Amino acid sequence: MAEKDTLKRPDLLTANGNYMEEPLVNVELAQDIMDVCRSMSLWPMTFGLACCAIEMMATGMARFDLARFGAEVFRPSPRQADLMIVAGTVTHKFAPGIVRLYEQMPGPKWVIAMGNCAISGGPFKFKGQYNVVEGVDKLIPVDVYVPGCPPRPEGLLEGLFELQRKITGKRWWPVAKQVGECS
Amino acid sequence: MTVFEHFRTLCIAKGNRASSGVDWNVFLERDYIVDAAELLKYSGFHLESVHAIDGAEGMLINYLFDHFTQGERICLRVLLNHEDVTVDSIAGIFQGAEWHERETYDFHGVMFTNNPNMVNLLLPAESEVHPLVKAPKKRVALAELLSCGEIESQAEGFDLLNQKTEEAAQ
Amino acid sequence: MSSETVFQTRAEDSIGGDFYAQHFQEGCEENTLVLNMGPQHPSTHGVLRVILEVDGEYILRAEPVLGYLHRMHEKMGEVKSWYQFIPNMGRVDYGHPLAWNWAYVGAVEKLAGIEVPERAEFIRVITCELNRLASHLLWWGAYLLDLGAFTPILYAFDDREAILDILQRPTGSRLTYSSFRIGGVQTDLDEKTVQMIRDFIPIFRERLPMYKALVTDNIILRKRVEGIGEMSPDVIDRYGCSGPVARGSGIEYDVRRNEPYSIYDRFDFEVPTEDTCCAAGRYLVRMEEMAQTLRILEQAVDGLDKAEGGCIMEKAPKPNWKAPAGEAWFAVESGRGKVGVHVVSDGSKTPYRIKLRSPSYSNLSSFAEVAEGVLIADAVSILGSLDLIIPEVDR
Repeated sequence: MAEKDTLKRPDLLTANGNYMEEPLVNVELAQDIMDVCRSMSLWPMTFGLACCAIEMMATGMARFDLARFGAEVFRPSPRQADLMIVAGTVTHKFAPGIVRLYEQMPGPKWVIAMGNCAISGGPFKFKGQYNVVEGVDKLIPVDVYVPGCPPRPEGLLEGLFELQRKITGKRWWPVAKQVGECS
Repeated sequence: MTVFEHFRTLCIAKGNRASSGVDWNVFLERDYIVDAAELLKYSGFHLESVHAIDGAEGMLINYLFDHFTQGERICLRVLLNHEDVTVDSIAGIFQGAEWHERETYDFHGVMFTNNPNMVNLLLPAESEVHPLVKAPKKRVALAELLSCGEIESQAEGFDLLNQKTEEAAQ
Repeated sequence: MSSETVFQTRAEDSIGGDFYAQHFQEGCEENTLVLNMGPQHPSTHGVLRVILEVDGEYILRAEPVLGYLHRMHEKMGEVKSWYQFIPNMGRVDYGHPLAWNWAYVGAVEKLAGIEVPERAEFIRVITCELNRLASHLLWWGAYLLDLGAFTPILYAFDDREAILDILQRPTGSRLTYSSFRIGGVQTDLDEKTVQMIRDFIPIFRERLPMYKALVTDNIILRKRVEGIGEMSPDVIDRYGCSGPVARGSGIEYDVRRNEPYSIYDRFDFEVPTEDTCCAAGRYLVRMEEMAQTLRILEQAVDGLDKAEGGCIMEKAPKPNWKAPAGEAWFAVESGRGKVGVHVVSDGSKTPYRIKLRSPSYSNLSSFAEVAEGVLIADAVSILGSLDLIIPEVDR
């Protein structure tokens, strides 16, 4: 269908040569408002694999409270989520599953690689390693990297703010001030 | 050690719990491991672990058993030749051994015959790599690695630990 | 796109799925459904996949498939040096990493005949017991979340944050601690930390009756855990289960009491046991263990001032230290059960073989037998009552 379609516009072709529909309301202001709405209500998928999952849970709990920033509704099903926080180590055995889950998410979708294992294999990258995928970006495209082993919940929150900045173009929340020495 | 009093063993050594954590080390021929496991089950022991150590003389399979009330830990040890790493499975008696044996197969390539579900457990399915098998020149003699303690009885021709005891005696 | 590129089911492809699903389906009966529970599913145990053969809602056969988080710890034990392996122990079990720290460091100290100063033993006991509280709180909150209760996990994590603030001071991390060293611990407990612990104990002691009234006595929870997942003592023996799983079936076995290590023989605490052999028994054992842990903490904090020595031995092993040749096995009681580490050394700068014996592995291996004939919802309850941490199972 795409090859013979003479009305196709080159800017609406994706990287694989598939044809993407034009937005219904193609006004920039409307798209910007949609972007703000999307970034303020990201729905993460419960994709905690290992230790970073506990810090992700702690970020959703009362002390650090991810709900303030809109991302509290953790959906178990990828079809209802638009943010995949890869929290933990990706192994060769699980890699096909991750790709399948990513493909099941409807667009627009984003990925945060949380923790050193998801960024580059982390502490499990050594000479002679045989089962760890060195970074989830070898499998799926990643938008924001949050380093740490595991990153503090504040780190994950900053990663979320960075993602919101990537979607909307600006950072919405104040930068934390340093109040003094750690006692 | 009354449990194995009338059992045919290759060697029984009394270990020291304070220095090595194991009370008894019993070396067996591979054909007797199932009967030994049945004896231990009858005496109320439970299975702690099944794992292998790759040494120069062969592949040593360790079966660790512990008792909830008697406070005695027994390690059954079976030495297999590197060319023929096969042994009978004890999963018929201790069902928990099924997973331990599959893991030993994953890491060391040891084949446990009659294991009800002999597929890869931790490695990807149908994986042929056995990552913990050592290169032949990196293997170390088991006599240097093991701390079996005092030998109480030893069968004819069993000299795996003799080198160590001679050094200890000096 | 032409119609040939659209997916078409092939008539001869009667068995679908990957290797494990196909292997499982070979033993299936007629007219049953094969369901994959995991490896991505909303309960927080981690990356566990259980293939279920169900007839309606009843499970006929279950088979856990492991390895989705196999991170090669035993291989790393042969590649990393003696010191470099300690952070691995922080990541094997993120619920109670200090117990694994202790198991490894204790095995190496047993092998090398190293004696740890008394103050370091007290610090080890204090930090490990605080970690046990954090682990049990995490289990409690996550279990109730699986069963559908959204409130207790908020309370549990709130208490956990208080513990994590205390543990952050001597260890430097919030979750994956590696603060034990061969010969002692990394940092001493300063005055402020000890005061924080002293303040924390009565506050937490007051919370426990509230948890009991809100959750443990709640009729909905009782219906979900009583009578679920019967594990007789014979099952415990055959699979080698330990910890609260064994104590919930009437077997009074706790490594701290039956095989005391370090200074645990000095403390006066009970080992809670229940006879019900079901998930309710395991639940009540863990709740009572939290109260007993507070008793140990009080006694340890009181004894800390009179302890001799520093936080690490004199002339502690340097990072390039080599252990003498030999082998040692050391067992420790973690929140999940008996942790065992078997260390084999050939006198070189890396271990020859490290075998990690994890309690969740043995506990989970009983699931295939225990889950026969139960409802799927009850299977979720059984898995939660076993208190699994999957990185420990897969290592």
